[in-house]
Amino acid sequence: MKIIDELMESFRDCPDFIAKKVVLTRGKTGYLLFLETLIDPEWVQQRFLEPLLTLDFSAISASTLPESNFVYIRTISSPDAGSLRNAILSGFVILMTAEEGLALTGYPAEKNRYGLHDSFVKDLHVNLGLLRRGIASYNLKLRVLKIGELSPGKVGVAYLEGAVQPELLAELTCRIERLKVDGVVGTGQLERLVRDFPWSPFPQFQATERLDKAIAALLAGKLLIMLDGDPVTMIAPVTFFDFFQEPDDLNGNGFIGAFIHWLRLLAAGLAIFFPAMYVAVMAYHYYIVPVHFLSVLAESRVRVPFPPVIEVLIIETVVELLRELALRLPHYIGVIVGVVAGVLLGLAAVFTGAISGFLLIVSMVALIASLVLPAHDLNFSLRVLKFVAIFATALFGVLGFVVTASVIFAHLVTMESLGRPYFQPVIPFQPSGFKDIFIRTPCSHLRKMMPGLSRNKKGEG
Amino acid sequence: MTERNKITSKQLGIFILTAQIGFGFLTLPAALARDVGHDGWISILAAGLISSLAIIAIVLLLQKYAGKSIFELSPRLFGKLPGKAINLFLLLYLSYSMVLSFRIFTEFITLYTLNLTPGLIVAVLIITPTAYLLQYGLKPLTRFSYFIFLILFFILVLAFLVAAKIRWTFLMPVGAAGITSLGKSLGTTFIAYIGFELVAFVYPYVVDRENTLKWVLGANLVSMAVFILVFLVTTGLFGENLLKTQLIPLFELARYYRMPFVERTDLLFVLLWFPLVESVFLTYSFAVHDGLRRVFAIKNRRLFFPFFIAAIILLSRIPTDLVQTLAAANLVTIGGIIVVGFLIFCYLFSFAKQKNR
Repeated sequence: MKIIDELMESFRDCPDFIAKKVVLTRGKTGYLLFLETLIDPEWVQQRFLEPLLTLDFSAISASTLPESNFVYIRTISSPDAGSLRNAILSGFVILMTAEEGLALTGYPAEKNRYGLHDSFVKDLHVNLGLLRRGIASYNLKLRVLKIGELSPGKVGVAYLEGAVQPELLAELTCRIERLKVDGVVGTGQLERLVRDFPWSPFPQFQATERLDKAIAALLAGKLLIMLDGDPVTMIAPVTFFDFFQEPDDLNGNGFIGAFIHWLRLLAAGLAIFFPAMYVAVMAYHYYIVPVHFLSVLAESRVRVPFPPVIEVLIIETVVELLRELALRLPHYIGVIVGVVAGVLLGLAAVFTGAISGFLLIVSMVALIASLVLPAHDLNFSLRVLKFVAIFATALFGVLGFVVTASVIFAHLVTMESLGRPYFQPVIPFQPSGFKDIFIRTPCSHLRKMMPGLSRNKKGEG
Repeated sequence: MTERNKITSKQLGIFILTAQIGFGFLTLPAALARDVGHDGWISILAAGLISSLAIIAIVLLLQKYAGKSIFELSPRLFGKLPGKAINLFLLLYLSYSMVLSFRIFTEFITLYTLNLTPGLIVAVLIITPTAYLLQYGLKPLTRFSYFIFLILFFILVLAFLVAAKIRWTFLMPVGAAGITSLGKSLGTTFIAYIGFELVAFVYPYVVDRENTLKWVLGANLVSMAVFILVFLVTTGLFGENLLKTQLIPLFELARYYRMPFVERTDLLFVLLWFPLVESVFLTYSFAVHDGLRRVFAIKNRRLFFPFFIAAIILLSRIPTDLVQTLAAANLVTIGGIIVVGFLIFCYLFSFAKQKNR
C-alpha cells in the first residue's frame, strides 16, 4: 500500500515505530501502526486489537462502523499519510485495512508509559520516548547500532533529520561500527573510544542526563549518543564554548546571560592559571607588584618556611582532597564536613605560619572558579591543567606560564570534535556565532541552527 | 582531521600578517630613527607600496601555474638541474631564516625574562608549541596565528592611551631627511615586510585561490598601517634622539605607560608577544618542513620529524651570542631581497618563455 510505504519511509530509523501486518477475520489483512515508546504494546494487544478482531470486517466500512460501540475508537475514511503521521506522533494506534483505505485509530489512553521525567533513564527505548515527548516529529530518528563482542550492547545515535548534517551522522556511525571491543559499560567509555583526540585532557563530547539539554542539542543539529543501560547521554559534536552554556541561559534576560558567559570564561582562566600566577610572581617576578603592595605580600609570607611552589602544592593538594571528600560523603554531611574542615584547616594553616594568608585567597578563588563551571567534565580537565601550569611556572617562571598557555591554546585550536573545529566561533572566526555566546541578541535574532554547526565555507577552519 | 593542510585565502592573509608583524617590526622604529630620523614613516609607506607591487607579481606568477609552489615552478621554468639548484637555495634561505629567527627569539626571551637559564633549555621550552602544532599541519598553525588580532588590539589600546602625550612637533619638518637617505633606508624598512614571500611556498594549500591576491595585499596594507602607527607614536612620544638609543621601542612604549597598580607593563607585552613570535617562527618552520619534504620527497614523516626539531635547536646554538646572531641576521635581509627579486624575475621570465613557445 502506498500510504504504508510512505509512512515506513517517514519513520525510517525510528526503531520504536511498529508497523505490523495483522490478519483479521475472513482473511482480510490490515496494518497496525503505532509508536511503542508512546503506547504500551500490551495495551494495544488487549484493549485495542482483541475487541477489533472479533468484529466482522467484511461488513464494516467508514460509514457503517458505529463509533459509539467503542469509546476509544474513531474512524478515518480516505486517510492520507500526513494526518496518519500526526496521529501516530500524538500517541494514537492505527489499524489500517487494506482495501478501503479505512483506518481505525485508538485514543491514547496511556500516552506516557513512564510518567514525567526530566532526565534520562537507563532504558534506551524509554529515552527515545522521552525525546519524542520533547520533539513530536517523525524527523526525530534513532539509529541503533550493535557494540561489543563478548557482551553485546546497543548504542543509539539520535538525530533530527533536516537539522543534522548527514556527513556528521555517517562519520559517527562509521566510528562506532568500526569499534572492536569486548563490551562497553558506560557512555564515557564509549566517548573515549570514538573521540578525535584520545590524549587530550579536554572533553570532546558533552555528557548530560538532562532532557532539555539533549533536546536543545538535537534542535541545534547535533547528535546524541545513548548507550542502552546508561542514563548518561553524550552530545556530539561540541565546541569549547558549549561547556560554558546551560539551556537555562536562553530562558533568562539576554544581558544577564551574556554576563554569566563572560564570568564563566574568566572563571576557567582563573581556575587554571591563578595559583600558577602566584608562583610566578612570588618566586621570580616580584618586581611586577607595586611597592606598597609588595610589603603586604612579604608580610604574609614572613613566617612561611616553604618556597612558594611547595606552599602552593600543599594547599592545592588539600583543596583537591576536600573536593573529593565532598563528593564521597552523603550530601548533607559532605557540605558540613567540607566547610568545617576547610575553615579550620585554613585558619590553622595561616595562624601557624605554614601557609601565607594571601595564598589561601588565591587557592580558594581558584577552587570557587572551577566549581562555577556548569560542565563537570571540563572541570576535571581544568584541575589537571592547573597542576601542569604550577609545575611549569615553578621551573621556568613566567616563561613556563606562557609556554603552558601557548600549548593549551595551540591544543584548543588544533582539536576537533567529530571533525568540527573545537574552538569555533572564535577560531575559525564566525561572527554569527558570537551572537549566542559572547553577546546575546534578542531571541528573534537567534538562528535556527546553533552557529558552531553551520556549514563551513569550502576548506574553512 | 581531514585535509590538515588546506587553508583559505583569508587564513593565508593572517599567516602573512603574522609573519610581517611578529619579528622585523620590533626593531624597525629604532633602526629607522637612526637612518632617517623622524621621516621614517615615509620610508615605511614607500616600502609598503614596493612590497605590494612585489606581492602582485608573485601572486600573478602563482596564479599562472595554478596549484604549484615555487619548488615545482623553478624546474619547470629553468630546466631540471638549474631548477633543483634554485630550490636548494630557496630551502637554504628558508632554513637560515628559520634557525636565526629561532635563535633571536631565544635570546630575546632570555633577555627579557630568564637571564640565568641556559639558552638550550629555553630553546627546548619555546619550541614545544611549535613542535606540537607542526605535527598537525598548516590548518591549526594558521588558526594559532589568529592570536595576532589580540596583539593588534593591545597596540591600538596602548596607542590610544598615550595619544594625549604625543608631541607632533617631533615629527616636523616633513622630509628633512632628504631623498637620498630615505632611499637608502628602504632596505632597512623592506626587511620588516619580509614574510610575504612565504605565499610562494604555501600557495598550493590554498583552497580559494581566486581571493589570494586580495587577502595577501590586505595583510600587507594592515602591516603597513600598524608600522606607521607605531612609528608615529614612538617618535612623537620619545623624539628621534631617544628612539635611536632604544632596542625595541614598542616595549619601551609599554614601559612608558604607567598603568594604575601593575608595574612593568612591558612585561605583560613581552608575555603577549611570545605566542606571536612563536607563530612567526611557526610559519617559517612549516615552510621549511614542507619544502624539505617536497624537494627531497621524504616519505617517513614520523622518523623525519624529531630530527627536524632537534636540528633546529642544535643549529640555532651555533652563533655564540646575540651580537653574532644579529650579524648573521644581515644575511637574512639580503637573502630575503634576493628571493623576492627572484620571484619577480620568475614572473617576468614566464612571459619570455611563453613568447618563445
